[in-house]
Amino acid sequence: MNKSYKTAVSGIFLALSVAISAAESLIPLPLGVKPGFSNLPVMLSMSELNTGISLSIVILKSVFVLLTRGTTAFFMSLSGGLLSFLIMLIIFKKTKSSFLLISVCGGLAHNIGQLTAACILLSHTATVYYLPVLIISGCIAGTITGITANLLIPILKPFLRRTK
Amino acid sequence: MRRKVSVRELIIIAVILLFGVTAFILLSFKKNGRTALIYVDGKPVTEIELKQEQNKTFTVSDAENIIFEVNNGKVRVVSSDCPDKVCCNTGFISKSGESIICMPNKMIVEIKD
Repeated sequence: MNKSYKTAVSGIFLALSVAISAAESLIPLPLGVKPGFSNLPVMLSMSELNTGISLSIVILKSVFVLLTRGTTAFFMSLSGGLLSFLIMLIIFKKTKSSFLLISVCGGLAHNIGQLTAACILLSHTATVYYLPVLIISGCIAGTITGITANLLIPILKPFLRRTK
Repeated sequence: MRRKVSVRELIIIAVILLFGVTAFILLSFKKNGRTALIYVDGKPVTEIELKQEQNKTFTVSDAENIIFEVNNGKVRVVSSDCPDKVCCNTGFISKSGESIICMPNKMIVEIKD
């Protein structure tokens, strides 16, 4: 295992994750619904690198949000990111599920985490009304991201194997 | 290791999706609300009678940079100073229980019966 290679790859993954989420924030959808492709580097690093790198991508991505969009967005991003990371890690380690299920559950967990953060920050439960929409959008976005991950990982494997 | 998509996974996803769609359809049967309550920082600021206003734009104290519009029993946020514009993209709301949320401004518009 080459340590500097691993550092470089994690840096690329973090940069990808931040860049994708910045690009996605330009899409005007109600409720801030996003396709969630920035989850791809998190899933890839979870399966091909290690969980520590994956967790640091989630946290550092939120730190980037803190620097660019302020504390409210930071708490929303962090709560969604951490809950989705936790759920994806459990499914990844405990079952033999494909990235499709991991991604869908990750997407749902992300939405539920953000909804919880919104409830706490606004001290109001009006946001719960949007749970059905967020479940539907989480399923659709998670499916798209999951299929992409299933297609991408075999292609990226030779490139990432050197880090093992 | 290559992880294959199994039928079991597809069933799990389909069940979750079905649950979401059912809840969404049930909520869409709600009837139109009578008033819109505007909260800033968790506290109610203004209450608007939806039916009595036509094409009216207004702002509320504590969130002067958000412009609201009431028309034909519906309310929307026309413009806001927040970076993500989630509130503006939500569009018109009219059904009881529906809400427009602006996280950066900690502002909620909620429709009441």
